[in-house]
Amino acid sequence: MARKAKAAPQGDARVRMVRYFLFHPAAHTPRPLKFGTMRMLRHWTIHRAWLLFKRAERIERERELETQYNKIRDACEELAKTDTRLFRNAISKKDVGTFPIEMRIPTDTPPKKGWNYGWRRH
Amino acid sequence: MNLARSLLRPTTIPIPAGRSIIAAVRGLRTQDVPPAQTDSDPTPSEAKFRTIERMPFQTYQYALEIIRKDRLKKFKEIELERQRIAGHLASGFKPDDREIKSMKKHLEYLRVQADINNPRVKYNFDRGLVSLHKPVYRYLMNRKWREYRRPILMQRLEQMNVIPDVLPKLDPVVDVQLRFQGRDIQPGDLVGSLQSEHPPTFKVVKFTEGPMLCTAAVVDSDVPRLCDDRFGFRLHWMVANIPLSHLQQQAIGTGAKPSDVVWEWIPPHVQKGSPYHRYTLILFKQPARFDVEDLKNKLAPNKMDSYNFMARSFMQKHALEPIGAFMFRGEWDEHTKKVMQRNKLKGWDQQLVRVKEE
Repeated sequence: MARKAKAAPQGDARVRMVRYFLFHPAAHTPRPLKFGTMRMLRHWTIHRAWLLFKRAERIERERELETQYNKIRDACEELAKTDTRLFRNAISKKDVGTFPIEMRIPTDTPPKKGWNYGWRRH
Repeated sequence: MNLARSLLRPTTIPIPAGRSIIAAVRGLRTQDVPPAQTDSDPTPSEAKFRTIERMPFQTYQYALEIIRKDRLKKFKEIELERQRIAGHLASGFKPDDREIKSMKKHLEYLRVQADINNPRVKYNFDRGLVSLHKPVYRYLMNRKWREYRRPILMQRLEQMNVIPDVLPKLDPVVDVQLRFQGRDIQPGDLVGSLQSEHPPTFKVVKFTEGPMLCTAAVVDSDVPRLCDDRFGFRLHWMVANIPLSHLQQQAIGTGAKPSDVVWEWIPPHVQKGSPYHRYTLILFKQPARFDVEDLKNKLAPNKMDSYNFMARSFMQKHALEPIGAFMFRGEWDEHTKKVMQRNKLKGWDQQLVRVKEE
């Protein structure tokens, strides 16, 4: 939508000043906090504990992924020993494009709308 | 041992370097401690004392819980690692093997990680109250040194070209602090002739556990050699078999253990007209105890004025490893003549003058 030419020099200076002091980030960034010794110590402790918590979470998640990967690899090895044709079919990338949009990965919690029994592909 | 209660309270009072225990405790006290209670008196309620661990903030207390639990996990890991090392040593590994070394390094890491999230440790370190026995304080001291004072030292050494001239390269691992007549010296400082007439005292802060024997050598790299029209090196001081450890910080001075002087202190003397001289103190790690007489014989040719003391070849001959260094400068001042006369140094009556080439 083509805008009309801007109004003559950005409107009234007083309005501009009022808007600046009401809304502009330069006037409204909170000043850097200064903590006393004990306050800073508590902040530091909480920060360290949070980092420990996140680290434990990350290690747990990575461990789970590692186990899953190893299981996939072992399963493929078993399949290879059992049946060569099925193995080759399983690992083949032929005619495999991207993932279908309807594909769902396992989630921790069920969907909000429940199971859609009326879903059809077309 | 009830770990949960004693967790964040170190069981030993941190002993700060060079200060008494009483002074340390006085520094931490927030109110007067009542005199020792006898058995008949009831124990005073602990709720009267405000401590770091008892601060009444909910998120903070939750954080302390998490840190406590992590600490217990680290203790288990430490125990496992100790058993693994013992098992390895029992089944044929030598203490010098790289497997044992890396396991010990990991053990040290775990010991540091058990304490590093402790707010009391942080408070102590920020106040300057450290216990050299505990690995976490050594780790924090190392980190602080590497943030500022080590880069300053390396900057001075490299800008003054000490690093290519005296030593090819240097990776300081210990913190060397020099003092002349009780006054602290910054790396690169100009030290007056009177001040440097007597040998300095110095401290070596070792951040890893264990003892070591060190050799300290002070080299002047700007001795004018008029015959050759260039500059040479002169050895000003050498002390060998200095016993140092993470607890024994004083190398030379009050509180130092006995060591052997191989080369007596020659006061830095800069003749008038000469630019400033650079004096480097190099701290070497010895592989084993040195025979002082043998060293003295090997260094005897240094007595000749024209002899050059090459730190590089000395290092190579005796399998020494440079672990620390310090550098100061000297220039001519009004007291140099008296100092040189008192110590019978040749050249006190000479002045160097620049000759213009035609």
